[in-house]
This record gives sequence, C-alpha cells and structure tokens, in this order.
Amino acid sequence: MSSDSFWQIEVIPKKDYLFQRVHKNLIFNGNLSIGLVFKNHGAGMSTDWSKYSTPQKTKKRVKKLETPKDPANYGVINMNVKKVRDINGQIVEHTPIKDNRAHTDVKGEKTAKVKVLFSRIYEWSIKPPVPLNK
Amino acid sequence: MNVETIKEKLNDSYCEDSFIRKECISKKHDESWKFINKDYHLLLGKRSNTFTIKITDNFFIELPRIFNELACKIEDSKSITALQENWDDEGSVGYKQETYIQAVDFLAKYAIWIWDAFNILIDTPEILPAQNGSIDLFWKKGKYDLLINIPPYPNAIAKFYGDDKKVTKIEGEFPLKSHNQGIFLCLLNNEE
Repeated sequence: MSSDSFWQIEVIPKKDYLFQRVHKNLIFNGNLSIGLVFKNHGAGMSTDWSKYSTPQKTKKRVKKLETPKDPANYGVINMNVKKVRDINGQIVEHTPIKDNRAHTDVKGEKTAKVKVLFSRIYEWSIKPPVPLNK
Repeated sequence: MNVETIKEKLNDSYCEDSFIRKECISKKHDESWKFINKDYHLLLGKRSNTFTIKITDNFFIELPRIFNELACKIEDSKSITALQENWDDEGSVGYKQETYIQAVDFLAKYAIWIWDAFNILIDTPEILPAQNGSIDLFWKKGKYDLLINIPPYPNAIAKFYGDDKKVTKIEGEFPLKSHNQGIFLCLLNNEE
C-alpha cells in the first residue's frame, strides 16, 4: 500500500488503458498542445487506470480536487498501457490515493521524443468543448 | 537529394546570402525598410511581393507570398501571447512576447532559408503553447513528425526530435540564431 492510501498497489496489465483529463484550452487552434498534456506533475504524469475508472469518472473527478474545477471544461484521452510502456523510459505505476483508487503515475522524463511518441498513441474518449481560442 | 547536392546548395546559399548582404548595405538608409526587422533585410532585400505580419509595434515578419499558409498560421498563433497565468486552470504560466518572437522569427527565417537554398517549400507546423512558457513548433504529418521546442526568452537553445516513422531519427539541441539547420531536411523534404 502507498503511504497515503489504503488501497493495495496492483500490477497494471498491458491490455488495460489509462485515462487522462485534458482542459479545453489545451486544444489550441484545433490542435492538442502536446507539450502541456504530456508532462509530469511532480512524480509523473497523472492518469487513471481503466480497471477502477471510466472516462466519465475521470472527467468528473476534477470536482473533488483540492481546488475544485468545472468538469464541463475538460475532455478525456485514453492510452493503451502497452503502448505507453513501449515509449522510452516510461514506467506505468499504480499509485492509488485515498480518494482515487484508479490513480496511476506515468513516470519517466518527458523529452521532445517522448512527447512526439505520446502524440501517436492517444485517442479521445471524450472531446472537450470548443475552447475560446477556436 | 544526395549529400553532395546539399553541400553544393549550401555553398550556393552562402554566396547568395553574401550577395544580398552587400546589396542591403547600400539600402540600409532607405526609408522603405524602416519598419522591417533588420535581419529580414538580409534575406528579403531582393523581393517585393511579400506578406508583412505585425508581431509587435516594432517587430514585423515579412514572408514571400508563396508562404501564404505559413503567414496565416503565424497570424493565428499570435493569441499565444494573450494567454495569462493559469490560462488552462492547471497552473500553466503565460507567454512572453519575446519568446513568441523567438519562435516565429526562427520559423520564418528557416522557411526562407530552405526555400532559397533548396527550392523546397516546407510544410507548415502547428505553433503551440508548451511547458514553462516555451513554445512548440510541431509538424505532425503522415510520413514524419518533428517537434522543435523553443525555450522561454532569454534562453535561446532549442530542443528537437523528429523521425520518419521508420528508421530516420534526429534528436538534439541547436542555438536559435543559426536558422540554417540542414539537419531537418531529412524529414521536411519527405513528400506526402
């Protein structure tokens, strides 16, 4: 178990998926700002494991953050775990927290190469609303 | 295009550039040049049929009309500088005007250099806000991807990665001042 969680840490199978929320403003002139989507926040890139989450749950979870946000401003992308692990130096690690059993970090440096490779494997589960900047 | 041809072109380009430099020295007091960034005098001195894109009150980019798509893309991307602190609700920083100028200045000079040296019209990249106030130039194409990350000003070393989705891969860093980066040609010359 992780120190701040009462959930057991599990090994994530390669066939599973990771969900990641994306703010609508990260679609800039109709294109995903990959430099801002595929980046680490502290320990890694924060995602949710499909075993314990769905795209809808991931989207709505922003309401429960320390600083609550409006889910209506977010979309959700998904990535296959095997494809993520195939990207240089990326480690998929289940890191459950008290309020989110699905929480999973994708650890590893997010270089220009890594960002390009992520841009090839993500798919939209829920598209965000059209942002202000088109 | 083989290596020898590229070398020949590089030499031609150097000579042509020198010629334009000489030509421009004689024009430097001409009033018609006063609103154009001085570096562009060197590259555009002998052209007349151009677009002028206003970036700030004292910085303009001038592109030959053949770069219509690129000019539109630059125009569209100007809103990057309007992004304020926490514009994505995730704590992202805003973008300095100087950083944006670094990005579009490099891109315009690079496109012109490729055109002058090799007669190749490069694909138009996406110009995207990126991490920590940097800006990405991203070519996501059928046959290749190329990402150049322009650092926040005053940093001036860009990082890049690109591949043709097969065996050709390029990765590294370069100073933004040297826009004549022949290394990208192995991807940008990859016709769809």
